[in-house]
Amino acid sequence: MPAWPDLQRALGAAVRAGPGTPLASELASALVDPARFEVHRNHYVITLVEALETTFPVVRRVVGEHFFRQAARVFVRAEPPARPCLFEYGSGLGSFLSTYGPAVELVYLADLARLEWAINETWHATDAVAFQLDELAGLDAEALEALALGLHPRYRLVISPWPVDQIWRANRATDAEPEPVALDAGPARVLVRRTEDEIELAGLGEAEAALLSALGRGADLGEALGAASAVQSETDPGACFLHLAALGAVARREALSPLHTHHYPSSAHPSPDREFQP
Amino acid sequence: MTEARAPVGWLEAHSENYLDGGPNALLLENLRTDYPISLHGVGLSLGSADGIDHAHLARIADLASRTEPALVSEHVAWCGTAEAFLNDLLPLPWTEEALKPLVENIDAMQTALGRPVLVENPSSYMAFADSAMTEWEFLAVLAERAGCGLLLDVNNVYVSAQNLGFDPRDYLAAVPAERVGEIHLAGHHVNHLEDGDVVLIDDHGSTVADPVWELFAETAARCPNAPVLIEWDTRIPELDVLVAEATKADAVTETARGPEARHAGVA
Repeated sequence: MPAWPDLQRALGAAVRAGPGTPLASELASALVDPARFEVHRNHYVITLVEALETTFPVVRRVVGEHFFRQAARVFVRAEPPARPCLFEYGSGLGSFLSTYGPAVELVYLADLARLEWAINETWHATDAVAFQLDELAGLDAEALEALALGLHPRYRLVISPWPVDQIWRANRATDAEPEPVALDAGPARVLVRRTEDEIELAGLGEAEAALLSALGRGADLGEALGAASAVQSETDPGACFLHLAALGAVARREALSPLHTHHYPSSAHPSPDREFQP
Repeated sequence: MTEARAPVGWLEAHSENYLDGGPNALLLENLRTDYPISLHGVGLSLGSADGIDHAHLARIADLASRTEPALVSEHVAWCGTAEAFLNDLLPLPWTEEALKPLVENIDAMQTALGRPVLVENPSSYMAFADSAMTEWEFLAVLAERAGCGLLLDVNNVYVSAQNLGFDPRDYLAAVPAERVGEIHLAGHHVNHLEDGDVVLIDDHGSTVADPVWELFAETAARCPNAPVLIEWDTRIPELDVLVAEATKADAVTETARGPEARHAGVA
């Protein structure tokens, strides 16, 4: 039998190869009943496809169960999860669908998947203190332009040439036939927001979307206001900012701390004072 | 549960489902005010020969510090490799070579959490040809070397015994009772394959099977103080069905222990 670390890596690759693929002889001979290995291959594909169905319910409804599962199996093969939290799996499904041959006629599908991923991200986001309008009081023009703000973690901005927000709303209900959506209804600039335990979508103007995108990219407020003016010179960028801040979509960058991540050193030898005591 | 506050002794949560900052995490915050919580991990891959994901371990430790659980547990299994997370609890060969990294990884977990943990026996569908000891011998050595406790899943013992062909009573009689810090009970699915093979799948999707209740009665007599949990996380039933299973487990424990029995939990 190969050394255990090598065998483990080879077995992992064999699980990902999918149900029904031949097992290399050195793997088969390491197992008492190699046919039973299929239990793990099936479990891998089935449970990850289920996880994607949970995260992308509207894409699934639009294309149907059979089509979704076929596409999801190909996606799982191409982009297996890297980490153990399945609510964090599927960020690449939108990009995948944009080049997935059988979906090529559904031009909006990739962006619909990106919208559902944005919804998933806001749903799981850790809350942060939103920037309050009264914090503007007393700031001179220079201090205002230098404000370091970002997108609030419970908010996402999704921009698409297709009306993905209308498609999402029309297909969200499970108990009713969806209303038709005109694909030429114009582009969508969707602000996704999680309130306490609900998802809300709101449409933004072009200048507002440009401003929020710029803040999301790390621009200071002065640059972001300039980005808003650049796309719509007739719009007052200050008013755009006030609207976004009033929606709660903006937070000070210093309030956007990532999850506490401490590094714990590992030691090879258990210490005697941590004996298990029932 | 948030509304009914059913009369069960405690609750167990899959740690990986509560590592975010959304409504789920708040749900756990809400429930922990009324119930002791056990955090049961399914993703740390303690059996990984290449070591565990320390970023993931840090998130588990952060959750534990916020939740202040009564128990923390994981599995004697591996869940993936550096290339991919396989979302499964894959089996280990019962060898010294596999034991060593497992002990190191449990030590890393106990160090990060600052407390001993319980590790659960697997439900197995296949065995390795070169296993040098029985599963129960492996678990006894593991608990001793890692200084950890055991989460004894009686349904897993039954499922593995049927799938691999050993006597579950040999297993349960040999498990070091003083190490058992929790007992799991669950339903399993009987899967008839095309080639005539019958495989029991530990799917946590039904009531506990009669032979598992029988084995549990014997286990409760050996480990009367271990808290007992009904695991039911697929095809989840009405709450009263779940609570009835926990009540049934309580009755068995009370018989084994005497009148001061604590109540079983649900997950």
